[in-house]
Parts: sequence; C-alpha cells; structure tokens
Amino acid sequence: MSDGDYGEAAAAGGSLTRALSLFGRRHNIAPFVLVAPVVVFLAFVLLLPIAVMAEMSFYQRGQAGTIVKVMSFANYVTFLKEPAYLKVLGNSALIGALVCAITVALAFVPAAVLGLTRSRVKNILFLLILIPFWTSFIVRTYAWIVLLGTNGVLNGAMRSFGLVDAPVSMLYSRGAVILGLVHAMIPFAIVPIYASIERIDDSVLEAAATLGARPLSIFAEVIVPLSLPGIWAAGILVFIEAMGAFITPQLLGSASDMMIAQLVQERFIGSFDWPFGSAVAVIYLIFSGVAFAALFAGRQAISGLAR
Amino acid sequence: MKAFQFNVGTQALLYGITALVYLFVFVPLLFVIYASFDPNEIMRFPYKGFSLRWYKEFFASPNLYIAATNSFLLAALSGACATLLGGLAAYSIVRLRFRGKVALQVTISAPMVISKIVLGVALLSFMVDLGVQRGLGSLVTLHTLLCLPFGFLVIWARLLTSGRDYEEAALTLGADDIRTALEVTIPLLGPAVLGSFLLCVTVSFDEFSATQFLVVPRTQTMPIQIYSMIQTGVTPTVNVFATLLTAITVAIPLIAQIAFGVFRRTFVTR
Repeated sequence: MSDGDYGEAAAAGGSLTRALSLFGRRHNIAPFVLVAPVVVFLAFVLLLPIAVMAEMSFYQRGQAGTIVKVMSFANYVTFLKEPAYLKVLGNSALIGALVCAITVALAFVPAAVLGLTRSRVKNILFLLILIPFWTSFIVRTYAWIVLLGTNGVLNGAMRSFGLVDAPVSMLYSRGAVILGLVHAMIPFAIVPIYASIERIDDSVLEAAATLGARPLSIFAEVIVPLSLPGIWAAGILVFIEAMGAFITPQLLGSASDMMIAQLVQERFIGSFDWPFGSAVAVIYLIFSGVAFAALFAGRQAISGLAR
Repeated sequence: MKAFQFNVGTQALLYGITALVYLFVFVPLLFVIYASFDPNEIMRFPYKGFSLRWYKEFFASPNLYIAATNSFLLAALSGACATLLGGLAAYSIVRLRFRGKVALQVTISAPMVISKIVLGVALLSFMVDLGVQRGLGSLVTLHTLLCLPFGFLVIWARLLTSGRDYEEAALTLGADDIRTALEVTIPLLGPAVLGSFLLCVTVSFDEFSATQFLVVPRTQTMPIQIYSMIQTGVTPTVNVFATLLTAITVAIPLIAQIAFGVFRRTFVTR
C-alpha cells in the first residue's frame, strides 16, 4: 500500500490527528512529541551526569572533602603511576576473565539440555532457571557467608564427619569472590547459549549421527561451532558484569584485594575524594567500553563464521 | 517433527551434569531458608530445632516497614515511568520514521551494560552540582534510568513480532490515528506493557549498587537495609530477612504470571 491510499482516511480526522500521524505515513511532528520525553530524560539523567562526573575528574580534592576547581590531569597521572591502583584494575580484569571462563563452561551443558529437549522437563528446567533472575542478588551472595563461614554449613559438616579439627577459613578471599560471582552469573550465561542451541536444526544433528559421529564429536564439531555466537554473547555479558562487580567482592572478598567498583565507591563514600573517584570511574568506563567493543567485534566475526 | 535424541547413556550424563549445576545454583539459597528457622543465638551448623523466634523478632522492628514501603513505592513508580518512557521510545523506533534511531536505541540500552556504581556516582555528582536534595524523587529518577532498557526491550520485541496489519485495517476502515492507537495498538500491547512493568519492578526491587549513593535514612530500601545488616555482623534475623526477600521477589513474577493469564483472557481474546 502506498502512502496516498491513506489520504482520505486521514483527512476524515481532525487537524490535530493529521498533525499527529501516529503510524508513520508521512514525516510530521509525531516522532518529536513521542521521543522527546525519553531524549530529555536520557540527557539529564545519563549523559549530563556522566559529563559532569568527567569534568570533576580533572579537579582536585581540597580541605575536608571540598572540591578545588582547577583543571589538571593529576588524578589520572596518580592512578597510572601508582602500582596499587593499577593492580585494582588488573585484578578486576583477571577476576572478570576467570569468572567468565568458568561460568560459560558450567553453563554450557544445562543450556544444551534446555536447547535440545522438547519434553515437559524442559519447561520445568526453564522456569527454575528464571528464579535466580528474580531473587535478590544480595541474598544470593549472602548465602555463601552462611555456607562458607567459620560456623557455616561446610565447616559444620566437615567437623561432624571428623575431617577437620579447627574451622577452615574460606570466606574473605579471592576464591570466595570467584565462587560467588560464578554462582550469580550462571543463569545469565545459560539463557543466551540456550537460545542459540535451540535454533540449531535437528536434521543437522540427525545427519551427523547417521553418518556415525559419536556424541562427543557431535558436541565438539556441530553444537559448539553452531552456538558460538550465543557462547560469545554469554561471555561478554559475564565478563562485563563480573569485572564491575561490587556487592560480591564487598561481602565475600578481603579488604586488601579490591576491585575497581569498590575503589570508586570507597573514594565517594569512604574518603570523600570525589575528583579521584570520578577519575577512576572514567578510566573504568573507558576500559570496559573498549573491552565491550572488542568482544562485540569478535562476536560479529564469529557470527559470520558460524553462518 | 521428532526431536533429535542422543543415546541413553549420553542423555543420562547430560542430565546428570545439568542436575549438578542446578544444585549448585539452588542449594545455597535453601540453606539460608533452613538457617532462618534455627532458634540459636549464634548460628552454627548443624542447626538444631525449628522455631519462629527470629521471625517474631524481625517483624517487631519498625525499620522493616519503612524500608518495605519505600521499596514497593519506588519499584511501582519507577516501573511505571520506565514502562511509559521505554514504551513510547520502542513504539517510535519500530513504527515511526525519524533520524538517529540507532543512537537512541544504543543510549537507552547503555544503562544495562554500564556499571551501576558509575551510574550512581555520576547522578550524585550532577545532583550536587545542581543543588538537588536527595529524596524519594531522586531515587525514582535513578531507578527509572536503570529499568528503562528492560522496559524498552520487552515492548520493542513485542512490536517487532506483531505486524501492523491490525493497525492498517483500522486505518483503512476509517478510524483516525488516535482512535487506532487507543483501540488497536494499546490493547494489543497490553501483555507486553504488563510484562515490562513487572520486569522493571523486579529490577528496581533488587537494586543496591547505584542506590547506595542517593539513599538517605528516610528513603532506605530493603536491599540497603539487609546489606548494612550483613556488614555490621551476621545475626539470625538476617536469615529471616533474606528468606522473606527471596519469597517476595519470587512471588511477584509468579503472581504476575497468574494475573497475566487472567488479563489475557479478559482483554485480549474476546
């Protein structure tokens, strides 16, 4: 249908209606009226705040948490010169990468089961995996304190079985942070991998089996390559989320082994050095932006190969 | 079409691994619920007995009701704002012609991938710059931003899959644009609007990382409260709080599913 066909119908409406053509039949004011609220909102709540924060990152902290408005790169130089700060960034990237690898590996088989079965079990498994999405993140992290604490479930069980005499210290370590993050991220990794495995045509798998491929080689040579875009998407999601984690390292990690989000929060709430905190936030934004772009470009390349 | 199936041994192995991963996901939470019924002063596994002692103590605290009211109010208000803004944006992007669609879509989705800590400190810096006081309004603004990508995505996906045939039919039959929007587009979007609102509610209800920068004692939410309880020292009431929070956050979508069914039967398939 061409635009002209609507002419009469539109003419029947009032002039307001004509000015406010809601169904995109011609260029008019409707997009501006409908899009304006969200544009204004994003400008004032997302873009301007980030700009103001970036501006502040060039200032200095004065007496008693005041801000001295003299522009310089001092905060950035401090960050890049001080090994302790670089270590925080390095730790975050390392923990992000480790959590990403472990989570994707653990999520793959459940995702494959969800994607390949058509039975009623699938619905139950799918509903179950949605529950962690709804459950409070703090509660899921806190559960590891109940499990790993010195008076916790694991120590209690080991004591009952006579495996240990004194409680083993497991909490407040990097291992606990990784465990907590993997636990929190698994459902987020399962969903995109599942979505790409479900799209695989059954007849491709039938063909592989008929031609004598063993189950392991069906996985390694058919399912994994065809679901690489989903695996990669899950990886990006988990890496970005884990690298910027705050609650998990704060509740399960050791105070001497900080992650980048904790450093930003500490400068804002703990030591009231907002300019330095802003500089760390900007460095982190740039770092995660570059990582995201690189991973996303990698995914585009892989999607090309999978096709 | 008959689904592809592995041989029995492989199936068993796959289901076994899946079961282990699911246990890993769920067992920690079950222990929190179990611990909440332990009557002992000092939590020490194995737990002994079953009691509602800490539940009674927990419900006697007035702070809980303030935090619960704040959390529900905040979730409802920001869920409504994010659904409205996200819905209008989704509609415009899918159905209208204008420049800068890709830029708008990327900006709307950005809060999903940007660290919540960064979003929180950025808004805090801006508010201090403008001299805006921290209160419920600033929290609603922040949460609307955090919910916006989710609200947008749900309605956007729905608009993409539903063709515009019904709208075209209404227009051809002489209904004007506003009438078509009110009587065709919006009813068809009903389930997606409800789904978007509920997803936003669960996002807002759980938010801690960005919220901590804009919260004042008067506007404490449930995640803020349980977090400070965990930080000051793990007491048995934390288990009760955690159990209730789990129950509420699982109940909202479940009730929504049922309500959604009723809604669909009442309004969509007539």
